[in-house]
Amino acid sequence: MLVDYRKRDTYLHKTSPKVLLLGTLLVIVASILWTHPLYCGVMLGLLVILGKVAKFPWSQIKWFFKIIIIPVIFIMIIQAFSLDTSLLHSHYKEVILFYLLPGERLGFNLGGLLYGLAASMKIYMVVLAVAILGYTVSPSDFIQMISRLRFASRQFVFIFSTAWRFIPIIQKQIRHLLDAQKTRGMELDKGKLIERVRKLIPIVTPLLSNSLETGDQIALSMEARAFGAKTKNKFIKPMQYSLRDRLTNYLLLVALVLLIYAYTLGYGVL
Amino acid sequence: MTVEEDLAFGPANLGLSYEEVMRRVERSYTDLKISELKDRKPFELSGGQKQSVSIGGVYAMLPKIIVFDEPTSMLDPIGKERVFSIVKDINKQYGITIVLVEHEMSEIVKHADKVIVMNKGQVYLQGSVEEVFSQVGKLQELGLEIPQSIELSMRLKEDHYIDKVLLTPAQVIEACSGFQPKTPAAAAAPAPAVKQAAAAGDGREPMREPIIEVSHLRHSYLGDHDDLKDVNLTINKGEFVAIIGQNGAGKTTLARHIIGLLKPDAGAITVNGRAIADRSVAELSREVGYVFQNPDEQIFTDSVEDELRFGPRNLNKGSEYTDGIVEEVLQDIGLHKYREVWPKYLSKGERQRLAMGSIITMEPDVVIVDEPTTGQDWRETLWIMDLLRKLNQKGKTIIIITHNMEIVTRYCNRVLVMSQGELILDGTPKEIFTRRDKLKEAYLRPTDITYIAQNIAFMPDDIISVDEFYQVFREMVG
Ligand SMILES: Nc1ncnc2c1ncn2[C@@H]1O[C@H](COP(=O)(O)OP(=O)(O)OP(=O)(O)O)[C@@H](O)[C@H]1O
Ligand SMILES: [Mg+2]
Repeated sequence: MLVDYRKRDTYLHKTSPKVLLLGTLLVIVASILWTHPLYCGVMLGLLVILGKVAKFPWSQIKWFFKIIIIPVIFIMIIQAFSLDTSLLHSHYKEVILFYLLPGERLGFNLGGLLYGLAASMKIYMVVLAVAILGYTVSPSDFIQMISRLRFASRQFVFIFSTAWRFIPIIQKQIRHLLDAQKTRGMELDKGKLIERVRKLIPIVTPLLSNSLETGDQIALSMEARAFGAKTKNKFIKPMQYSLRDRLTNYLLLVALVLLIYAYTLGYGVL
Repeated sequence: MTVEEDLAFGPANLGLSYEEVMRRVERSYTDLKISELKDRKPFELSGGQKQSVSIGGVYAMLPKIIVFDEPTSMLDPIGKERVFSIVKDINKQYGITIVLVEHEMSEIVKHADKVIVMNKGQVYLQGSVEEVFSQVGKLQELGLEIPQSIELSMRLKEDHYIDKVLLTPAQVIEACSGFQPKTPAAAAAPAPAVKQAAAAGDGREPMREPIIEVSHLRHSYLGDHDDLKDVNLTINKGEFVAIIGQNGAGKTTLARHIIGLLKPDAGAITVNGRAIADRSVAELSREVGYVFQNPDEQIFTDSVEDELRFGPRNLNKGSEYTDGIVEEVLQDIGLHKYREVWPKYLSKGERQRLAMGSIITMEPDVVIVDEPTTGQDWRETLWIMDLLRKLNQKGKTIIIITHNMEIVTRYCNRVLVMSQGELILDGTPKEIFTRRDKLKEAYLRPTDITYIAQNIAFMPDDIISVDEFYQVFREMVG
């Protein structure tokens, strides 16, 4: 998981998970349809503002944005040289900024560049939207939402929620194992990537045996806290669905329809 | 999952209504004084905070019988007291039966209705607190700790100051307060000779050569508040230092910075005069060894011997050297009979010693042990501490993090007190335990013997051992 859920007292955290899910869906649809960087730019701006409102921990996601920046630039350049510009509608496709080879061959096409730019922005858009969703909606609210879906059987909910508990535990175990080896003189921070990966092999066995044990442990501690007792679990967190949520929900639905309709008219397309 | 959700898990499974579950959850975190943790994640807590949360989870269920297996081994002294008083409350209020497995005798003496002593899988002694603790000889034979209040009152009885062995500090204070000091002058200034004799440690002056220097260290895990705020300290070669402080004070966080497992947000650390900022943990491990708070996080190989060899092998120490040190440490930690055994099969105390051994075989200059004696019985506790003292005498610098004030007074020559991410006191055990105001601020409490002395008008404030108490008392009362 890119960014962990944090309980905070912000506008976004108070919004119903359903609404936030719809909002994320909207961003995903937009990212599928749009090819115009201007549109994507506006959406990105909106997301950043939302993130600010929710006190999003930017530092936690910085590394990811940094890693993908090189492939992103690469995509843009490749697109500028190679995109089949007949796909584009705007006049930018006729603008050739320069030629790489003499004799007007391998032109650097502005349309292609912008298209590549939009493509990159779309990656950031989706990642950011999903990260904000994960950061503002508590996993247990997700689980409760899923358990209300009609297709979700009890087993499904159980497996889903246990797996959800398991992931952070495994992450933590990996961190402990690495820490333990470092304190015992195992150099894991330096050296070539291949070497570092090779050094990770010895943690596989203990990790497996630890996980099996952890599984046992979780089962035991869940049972000790009456999990699976014959009584029906009546604990349902009342999900608030305020007037504001309702309004936002309608607003987002209208926006979604508009977005698709506008697309058929050619808006958002390069 | 948040702490609040974790607390709700048990009662929810019992089929209680939402309101009832939340009522119990709220009471649970208010009584245990962990309200400020309710939105945090259980994985991201300090060792003691985790322990409080797991007690809270059971407390919220209110079953008819609760079995606690060393529930407070990692709690700070005040937290311990709080848990015991809650346990007593629910025992009275709801008639819940409490079964408590515990090493800490002084708490048992204060709270239990009935005591069962087990040995080798059998019930060895049972009865009321008075009945069991009157058989001190038998308890000592098993290597159990004798509470300081009992040890002291036995001595007083031998010399006919009192006529029966007393159990709790309160009783001892009452009995001793009845005596009058011979001269008022004696009360004002206790003999300095006595003070000297009872000083902690072995009395050697550590060299004044800095080995670890921490300056303006700041760290924040979540970015919303500082878990370490501007920590400054110097540790000299050959010192035996204790870091104490309430749960969540930042002790482990500080230790993890010194070995480089955590990076500071601001400030700098040097080891042996060199900045550690751009040195890896593995490099540093030649100079600083760190034994984790939870030994199971540190142990990962298939056998005891492999565990001990792992470090020296990584440091390329050579096989002759490694063979030698591994044999020596196997003896020292008392695991030579188990060299081929899978560490997971060892007892908690043995695993703790193994984790420590795995660091000692690397022969670092500084050994930091995070709560070396949790979950150990008294005999094992003394064993571990004696081992550390032996290393200290060989010139190693030892830093322990602990909630056990008795081992602090017995072994350490310097104490650092942390509170809410800050270093608030630094001094010898005697200096520290007389600063009652500051200790209270840090949710700490001195050992029972110091507490007893401090509550008897004519006794000095800085008594830290039963021997010392007894000598001063005799001198004064005659
Ligand atoms: N991984 C983490 N993520 C977020 N916060 C953490 C993490 N580990 C510790 N903390 C917080 O940092 C603070 C200091 O924790 P630390 O573990 O240093 O305490 P400690 O003094 O060792 O306590 P204890 O006596 O309970 O072991 C606590 O408030 C704790 O909740
Ligand atoms: Mg700790």
